[in-house]
Amino acid sequence: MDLLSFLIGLMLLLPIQRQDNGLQYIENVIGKFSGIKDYTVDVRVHLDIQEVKAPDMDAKVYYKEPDKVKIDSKGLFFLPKDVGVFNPRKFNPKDFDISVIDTLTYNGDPAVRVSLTSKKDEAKDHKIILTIDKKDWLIKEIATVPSPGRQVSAKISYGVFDGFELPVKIEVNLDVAKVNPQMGGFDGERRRGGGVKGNVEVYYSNYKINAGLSDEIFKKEGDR
Amino acid sequence: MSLFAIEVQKTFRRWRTYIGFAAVAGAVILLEVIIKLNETRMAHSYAGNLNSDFLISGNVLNAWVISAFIMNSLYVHVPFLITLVAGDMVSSEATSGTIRFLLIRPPSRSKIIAAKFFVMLFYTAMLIVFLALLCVGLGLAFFGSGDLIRFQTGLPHIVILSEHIAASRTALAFLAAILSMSVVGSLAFLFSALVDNSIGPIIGSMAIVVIFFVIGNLPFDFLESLRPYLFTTYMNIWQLFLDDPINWQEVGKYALALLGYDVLFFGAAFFVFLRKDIKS
Repeated sequence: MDLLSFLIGLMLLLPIQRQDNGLQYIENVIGKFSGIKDYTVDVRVHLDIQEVKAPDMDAKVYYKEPDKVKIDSKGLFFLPKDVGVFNPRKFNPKDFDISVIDTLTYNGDPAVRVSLTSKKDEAKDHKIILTIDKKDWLIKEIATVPSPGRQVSAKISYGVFDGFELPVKIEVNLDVAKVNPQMGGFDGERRRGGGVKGNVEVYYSNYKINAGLSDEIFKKEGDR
Repeated sequence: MSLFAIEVQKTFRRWRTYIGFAAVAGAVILLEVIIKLNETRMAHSYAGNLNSDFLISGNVLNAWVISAFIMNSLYVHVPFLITLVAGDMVSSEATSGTIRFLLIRPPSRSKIIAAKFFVMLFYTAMLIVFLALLCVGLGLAFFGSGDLIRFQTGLPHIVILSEHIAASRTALAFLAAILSMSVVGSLAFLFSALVDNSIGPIIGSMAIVVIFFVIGNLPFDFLESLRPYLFTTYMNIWQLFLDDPINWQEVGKYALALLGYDVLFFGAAFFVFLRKDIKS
């Protein structure tokens, strides 16, 4: 009897231990997204960056699980990497070392901050901190250091579409130091730049979820 | 037939007039073919650091970007092609021995020199229009249209012009390039009025252009006070039309300076030509 009580107690404790290292939080967030096989969404990007002068940019973004993305735009379109395409599946626990930083209250709801460090050698400097709303299992903030000298943080606002909570606005703050002073241009006419620092607002509308997007859509022109 | 038409005919009968057009055609075709052959790599390279922070969609390398690049590459070299004709406008009459015959006929000297000057301007305009048509025409055929993305040294480092204004801005830039190149033409024209051979004006005006460009780009503070007096300082006026928004005050300043040099060089040529001694 005592042994049985011990085993039952141990089984009850296990999820708590899993939560303590943050794994369960990430699985809950991914689980919340698991009903979404694909989506298309209209995206508008507004850049408020001192180094870049550009009009608002529009595109249609196609997503298909697990990580297929296609961007279709008439004009030039810049979408912040890491945070622009909403896909919690990219935080697959198999790819990261996960740990809980702290718990907090976020907009009156209980939340937890979880740290993810890439297990891949080529991205070992890639660190991500997610602020997860424990009430709705939604990522409210993402702070990422894709590589030394680059910091990207994002606040996410959600709306409900076909029963799924998906972003309607992501406010991104970029702080990219002078990691590489070459801003762009053709060889020989390269301009020396001073990094990128500023805000990017990304607006999402007109979601079409689980429309059964074909893999063909995601093939690059050269692949066809 | 008007004096202007006669001078146009004389100018466009000379084979050297077409060297500029051939050189422009060769350079533009070569550049666009090279870029086309390396399009994917160059598009990625052109976006530079932006690739690290953004997913980029759209036609990065397009006719407007290519045209701006070619203008940027050639605006130091095209002056040479202008001087080939402008430096020959007046001096060729002396070289071919027709100057006396020309000046004893009824049209006044002032009319003759004015007609020659306007033909020089016409040639300059034609060469730039040809460059524009070739850049944009080939660019549209090879790369299509799109937003114009430009990288510059000052803030903002990156300027993006929507496709619908990129075309008009490119057209304005080429028009401004005509004004810019007219100053080099005027200088060569002045030298052409001063001497009796064509090589001197061509080499002389190119030497001045090169020296002014060098002085204007040397990073020495003590040269700063000289720069406003160098016509080469204002020759990149065309780039102002690719800014957003256009700094019209700066455009006005540059345009006035260039027009001023045009008037100055033509005035000097006019003065010299009116007093030209054809008896010796």
